[in-house]
Amino acid sequence: MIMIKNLIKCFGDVKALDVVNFECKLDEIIVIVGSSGCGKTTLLRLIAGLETPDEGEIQIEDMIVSTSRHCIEPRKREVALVFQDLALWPHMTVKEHIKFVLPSHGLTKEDIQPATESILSDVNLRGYGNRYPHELSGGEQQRLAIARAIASKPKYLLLDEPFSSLDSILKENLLMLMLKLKKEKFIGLLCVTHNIDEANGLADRLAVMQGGRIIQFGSKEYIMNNPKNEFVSRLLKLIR
Amino acid sequence: MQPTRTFVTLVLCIFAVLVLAPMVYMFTVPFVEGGAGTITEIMAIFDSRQLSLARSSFFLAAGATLLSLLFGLPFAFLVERTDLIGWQILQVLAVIPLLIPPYIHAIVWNYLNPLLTRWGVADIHGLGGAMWVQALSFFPIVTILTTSGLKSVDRSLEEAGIMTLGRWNTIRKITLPLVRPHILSGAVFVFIFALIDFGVPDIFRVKVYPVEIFIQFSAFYDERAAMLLSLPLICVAIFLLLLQKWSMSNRIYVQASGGISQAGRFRLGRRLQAPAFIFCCTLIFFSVGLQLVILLKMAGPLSTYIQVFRSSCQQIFYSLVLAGGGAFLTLILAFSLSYIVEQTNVWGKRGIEFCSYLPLAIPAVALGIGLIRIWNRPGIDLIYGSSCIIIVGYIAHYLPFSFITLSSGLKQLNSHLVEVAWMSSPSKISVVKKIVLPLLTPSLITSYFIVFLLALGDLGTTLLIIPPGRETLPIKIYNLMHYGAEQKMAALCLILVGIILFFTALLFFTYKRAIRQLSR
Repeated sequence: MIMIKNLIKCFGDVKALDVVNFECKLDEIIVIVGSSGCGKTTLLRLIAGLETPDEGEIQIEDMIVSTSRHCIEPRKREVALVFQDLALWPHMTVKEHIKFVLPSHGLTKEDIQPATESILSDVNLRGYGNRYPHELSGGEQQRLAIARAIASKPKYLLLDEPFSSLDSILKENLLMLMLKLKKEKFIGLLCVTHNIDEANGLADRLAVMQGGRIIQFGSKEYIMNNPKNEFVSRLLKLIR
Repeated sequence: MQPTRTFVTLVLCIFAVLVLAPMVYMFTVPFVEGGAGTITEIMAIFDSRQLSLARSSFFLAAGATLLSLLFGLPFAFLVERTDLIGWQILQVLAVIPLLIPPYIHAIVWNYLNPLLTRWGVADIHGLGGAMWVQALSFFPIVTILTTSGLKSVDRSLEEAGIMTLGRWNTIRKITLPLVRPHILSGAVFVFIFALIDFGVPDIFRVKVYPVEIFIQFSAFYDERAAMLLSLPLICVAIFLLLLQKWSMSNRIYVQASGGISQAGRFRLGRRLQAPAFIFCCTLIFFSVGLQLVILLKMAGPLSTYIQVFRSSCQQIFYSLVLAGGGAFLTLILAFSLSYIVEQTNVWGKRGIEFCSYLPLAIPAVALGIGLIRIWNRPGIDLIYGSSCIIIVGYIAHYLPFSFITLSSGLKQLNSHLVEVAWMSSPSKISVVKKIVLPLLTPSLITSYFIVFLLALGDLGTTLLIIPPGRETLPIKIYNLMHYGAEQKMAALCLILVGIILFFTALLFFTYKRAIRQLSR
């Protein structure tokens, strides 16, 4: 479980996160929704270990991974992050992306090839191994970013606006892929979006953020039936 | 991705010993050795002789800067923003004058002087001549920085302007203000380089600070006087560096890619196309073509080249090895430093950044004296007595060029590409080796070649620290010039220019290839 307690993060005078508390279990999908600039991406970066909190702590499984004083390296946290811009390495082929991540998990050279193929087939990219990112379509690039993330065998997958650049058919495909990953790989998914439709299709639980705070957190159905305030109500009106 | 504390400490120690120590020496030793009397000596800076030296140094630098702006600014706008015929090739050609050492420009114009005097144009021996030659040598700095600034301007801002203000008002009210920091930065760099240049004023017999520093040291063996003389120069240069750092803020000096295609360029039209083309070609002719033609004429028949080449093989090889080794080691130090500055949260990193620019403010001759005093000591004479001292000199002198190129590259690097690797890779070394270095290839190539080419033509630093019995190509050229062996000197200059042009072409093609691979 990822446990976040009283998390505060400031950038200069701007309070990006203001006492955030919540938890994410394995085998569940939590979607964080909120308007642009409310601190969603900062929260993901803190969980990933790319930023250090000013106050509060982050616990992953039984280990405290981040406090204001100590911060465990991202690669030791068993989380993977899929960036909004995907961050695919332009000089590497699809296979090389996966192979770069695989050796860190005790695989021998002989095991790497079949493991790479297996991961690529999980995301329907079999046969694309020798292509470069620029030779892939938008949806294929998205799947490569996810394949690279799951290659590191994370317990939690963090996704920053995964649907932002996809058309509706590709969104649907990606949604199915995520649900499949959750089911087959037993991975906890923490997804950030500003689109309430995407949140509705994916979430087990919803966290609504506003001004650096989580203003409501609970099951999708509960929040839809009991919006805490006008902001949540207006946000959810779009799906009802 | 934070490097370990040991790594940061090690890099900063190497930087302090190789680059900062000679500079610290220059500032402190005159005071330590001179005691209370030093203040009186410093006040002597304001006596009439010293003031005349300061005046000519200032006028030379200011004149060269003004001319460089007059040449470099329109050139940059024409090749970067208009549909000028052959803008692609002119963009490349504009870099070459900077890579030809200034003393070679001076040698050529010195040769032309009798002709110019006979035609009643002017006597090149004087401030005006030195300004002209320095401007022809340094104007590419203004062009390169302005071009970089123009590449970084969001095209949509200009397009929005064109729709309401028209083309020329857009340039005046939108484009120019946006690239002003780059232009100012280019002007400051030219001013500093002209101020600390030794080669051109030495050949044109203009009394300026760098020449006086050299005379004090080599003719009167008065090292302290040389150091005291360099203080005002260094103070002015440091002040200007601070000014340009403030003006540039966090902007990027060297834009790795970008620019606009033929379709998005301003149309010059029939009336402007010809004069613009003639302006650019004339500038390139005076700063590159003329040098080659005159050197060819001075050198005479082919037999001179064969003779000079045979007798200079050792110097050519020696220069290539030293420049290659120096550029490689400078690259390693500059990469480590720029990585610390751009990608980590190390305390005082802006201070480290500014210190990395400081060698730009130090006259090469004064740096040579500082290097002698730091490294000519019992116990470490292995370095001073060997060619290693020249490599140390190259690192101390050319580190800023490498640093600026690499920090620009790191600033343009998408941080997510490194972060995602850091999250999943087994080791930091693997991230640097497989992700950071390949993504930085264009900057690494440029950085290496710039230092290599500048070191290959270096005269100022090498002149004082070259070990006995050794000679680099520029030193041999300098010696031949003073012995009056004009023909041989010209042939050797051409060989040096040929080598420089060969490696410039190599740089151009490898850089283009690397950019193509990364922008797929």
